[in-house]
This record gives sequence, structure tokens and C-alpha cells, in this order.
Amino acid sequence: MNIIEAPLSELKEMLDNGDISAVEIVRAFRENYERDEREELPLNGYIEFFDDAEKAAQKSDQVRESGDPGILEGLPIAVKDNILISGHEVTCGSAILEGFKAPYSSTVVERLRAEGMIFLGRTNMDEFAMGSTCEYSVYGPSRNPYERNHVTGGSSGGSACVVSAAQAPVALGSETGGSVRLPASFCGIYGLKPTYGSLSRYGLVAFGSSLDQIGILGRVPDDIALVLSVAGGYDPNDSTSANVDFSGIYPLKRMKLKGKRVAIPVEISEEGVDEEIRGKIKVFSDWLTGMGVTVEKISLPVLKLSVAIYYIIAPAEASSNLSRFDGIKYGFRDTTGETLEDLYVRTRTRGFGEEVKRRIFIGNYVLSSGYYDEYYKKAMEVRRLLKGRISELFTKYDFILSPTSPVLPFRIGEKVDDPLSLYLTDICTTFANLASIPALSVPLGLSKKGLPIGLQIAGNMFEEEKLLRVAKLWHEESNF
Amino acid sequence: MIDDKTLESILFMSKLDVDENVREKFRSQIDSVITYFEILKEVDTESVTSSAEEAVGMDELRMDEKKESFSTAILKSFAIHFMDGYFAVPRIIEKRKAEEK
Repeated sequence: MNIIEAPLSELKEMLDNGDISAVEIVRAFRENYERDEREELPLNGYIEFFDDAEKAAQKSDQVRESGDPGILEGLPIAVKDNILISGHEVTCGSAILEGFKAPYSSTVVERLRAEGMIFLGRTNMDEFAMGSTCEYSVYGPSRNPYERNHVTGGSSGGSACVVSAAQAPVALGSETGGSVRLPASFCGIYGLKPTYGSLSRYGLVAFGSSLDQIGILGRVPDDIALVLSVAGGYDPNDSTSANVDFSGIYPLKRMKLKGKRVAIPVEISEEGVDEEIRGKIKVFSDWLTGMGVTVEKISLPVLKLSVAIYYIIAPAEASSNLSRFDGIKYGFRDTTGETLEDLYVRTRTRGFGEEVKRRIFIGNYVLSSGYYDEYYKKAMEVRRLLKGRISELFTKYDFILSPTSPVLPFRIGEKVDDPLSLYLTDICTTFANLASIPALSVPLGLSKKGLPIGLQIAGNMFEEEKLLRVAKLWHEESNF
Repeated sequence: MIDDKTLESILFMSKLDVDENVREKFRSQIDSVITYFEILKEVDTESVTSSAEEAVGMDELRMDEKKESFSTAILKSFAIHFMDGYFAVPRIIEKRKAEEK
């Protein structure tokens, strides 16, 4: 078995049987990463492959020898650059946090570490998770493993890239409006956005606090289930954490699909959706029908508003969350001015990239006197309407099906100067964040030009296991 | 179209500046996004009684227990400008006095 292509379950079995060591696993992934770094156009999925990963693996092998291994003992994972790992740099892909080392670890990292998981490195991302392509990073764009001149999707583009290119078996990403599912779709892997509150946000750098959620990317559904089984659950350090237990979900049980009901909203699955993507959705839909599932096209007009709602609420929350980056307490400081005001303005102007500045501006605009009712309050009201409609839908249907993205992965630089066009690539994903529900991107195969196509299955709150079990059936039958 | 006064006002609130040579591009990008938001105006939200979002699991708050915080040494490591146990900033009182004179 090739180590870098093996799913976590197989690596776990090999470790348990003594066929390989954790050190060998880390070395295999490091070598694959370093091989790619010598390419003419490296993928640039990792910002940093940790020097101490092998040391951690040595320690893990000793723990195993002592006879008390953790559930994830010796298994590796890559981590997005906005999730804190104590002692390691964490920059959110931004110049403003250059050199900042995390003083503590996030709850999710602590839980994985406590069960023996090894952190391979931190992955590239759109600055402060604001982007859909992974081009807005101070470290440059990550490249799509299927076509290096194309984007990976974002914002967790680095995490999707390293998993797709076998530089890590699984990775942590973060979601605010599709940042795990979109890159998972563009890179041909699985990406789970859990229910809001399922995984602690403690130690995740805040962007839009009512929407943010750590997510998991992997090449097989069982790998995501394994990580979720350890990382998820209530955390007193996150006041929005939910009292939910995922510990029993791995290995995923086989699901009987007969009798289930699936809704396909036309608003996000037909108009403006690439023809090849629609074709693949039809293949999946026919597969479901063949399994005894009732698949129905429905109309839910409020979904067409989700991008507008999202791009008011998320920047509004971001404008407040990012006010902490003032050049005083941590990170970059511009000292060329004389006054305190100069320090704030020059630090933030030089430290933040263009997209982050646009979103802070939009956030302050929609919250400012004279515009608050027209934009922010209105968006909050429509969000509530959307949440109600989604809730009603789950009284009749088990799942909502749609493309993950209306478009195929596109060339790097193609849309970078057209923010609205980029925002609209989130049309299929944002509703799940606004409604706090779980959603999973599932690979459906490749386009004629060899670019990955993904489908999204959304479920009712805390039904992550159901989504993953459907995906497992699909994976076993399609081998995607 | 966002006028100059609004642009300056929001930039001031945001503690940001935009170079003169890219200001029009910035304004145009923001304009296109704000204009897109107009689609929400058509939605009837009169039936929505509250715009507040209820959080998940808020019924279970942690105990208010005293815990160890970061040491001064750790806080000092965050910032380049640190003096006598405090984060150092440019002088402001002297500056204001000078301006008053």
C-alpha cells in the first residue's frame, strides 16, 4: 500500500499491525510535498510544513510501544492557517499577522492531539478566509492539482490542495460561506461544513462569528467521520457550542436510502449553472432514484437572496472582529506616522490586502447610521425568513441537493478584480451557513477538460452522519 | 454611487486609507456590490418579528471560574513595542497639548 494515497482507516490498520511507523508516514508526506516544491509551478498548498512533525511522530511511536495509543495515534492532518496550534505561527494568510505565534491551541487541535494526531503543517488560505479562490493570500495563490493554472477554490484552498495532491490524508479548514465545500469541489475531494456549533470555534480566528465553523476535508467520507468523531462536541470555551456527541459515528454504517426524499431547488441548480455540472448532478440524481429515493425539483425563491444576505452579514461581523488588528497588541506595526491615528490607519492599510479592506469597508457601510436599517437589519430579517423556509423544507425532505459551485474551476487571475462575480460563485453554498445546517461537498468526477465537479448535499441540523453515510454509499459505488 | 463624503467617513471608521490612484476602482467595486444588495428591498419582511439570531446551545453557559491568564512574558512576545509591562503606543497627550497651543 502506498502510504500517501491510503485513507486514514488503512493507515490506522497498518499502524495497529506494526506494518509502518508514524515516522514513516510523516516522511512519506514530507517527501511528496518537497518533490512538488521542486516543480516549475509548485502547488503552494502548505505555507509551512512543520519541522517538528517528525519529532511528534517519534513521540507517537513511543506512545504506541508503551501500549496505550490514542484513537488517532500516529495519523497526520494538515491545518488551515487560521486555526491555532500552540507555538506555531498563525497568520491567516495576512501580512498583518506576520510572525505571530499562537499562545495556545484551539479546542479542536487539542482534542486531536490528545488522541495522538500529528500536525503536518499549516495550509494556505484567502486572507482572513475572505475569498472563494485562495488567490487573496499574502503567500500567493494555491494551484489546482488537476490543472495548475486554475484556482483551488477558497478560502480553505491550501487544505483542499494538499489533500487532493496526497500531501496529507485529511485537513482542517474553516467555513463562513462555503470555504470548505467550494475548494473540496474544485479539487475533487470531500469537504464537510458541520452544523454551526458542532465543532468548537475556540482558537479559530474570527471572521463572521454567527457563521464561522471549522470543517474537515478528506478523500473518503470515513476519514472525515473519524476526525469528526474526536474533534466535535460541546466545549465550554465556546458559548455557541452545541451539546452534541459524534463519538459513535466512525466507522460509518451502511445506509438504506429507500424511502428517503430529496429536494433539488431550481434556483441554485439550473439557472446560471454550467451544463456539464448539471449533467453530473443528473447522474447522481438518477443514482439516488435507482436506490429507491424520491427526488423532486422544488422552488425556494429565497435561496436567490442568500449571496446578498451573506455579503451584508459576514462583512458586518468581520468589520467588528478585525478591529482588533490595530498594530498595538500583536502582529505588524507601521511606525512611519506621528500620531496614534496614523499608527492605526497605516498599519491596517499596509497590513491588510485589498479584499479584506473591501469587506471591512462594506461591513462598516452597512452598519453605519443611515444604512443600518436598509442593509444590515433587512439582511438579518431575510436571514430569519430563509432559516424558516429551510426548516419547513426538512419536514418534507431528508436532503437538499445542488451543485457545490455553479461554475467549473477557472484560471488564476480570471476574476480577481471583479469581487461581485467572485461573490456569486458562493450562490450554492451560503444558505447552509445562514441556516446553520450541515452540508457536504461530494466529488462527482471530471469535466471533459479534466476539471473536478462537485455536488452538495445539505441536511437538517446535526445530521452530519446521514450526509456522510450517503456519501459513503456513493464513494463505494462510483469510486470518486 | 458612494459620494466622496461617505467614502471618507467609512474609511475613517474603518481606520483604512486607499491610495488616490486606485480610489475610483475601489469605489466602483464597492458600488457594484452595494447595488447588488438592492435585491433584498423587494422582500416583504413585515411578518418577521425579530431580526436577532438565536445561537445554538446557549442554554448551557460555563461556570464563571477564575483561570490563569497569559503571563507578561507571553504578552511581551506578541508585540515589538512593549515597555514596563505595557504595550507601547505613540505619545498622544503631548501631541494634543502641542495642537492646542
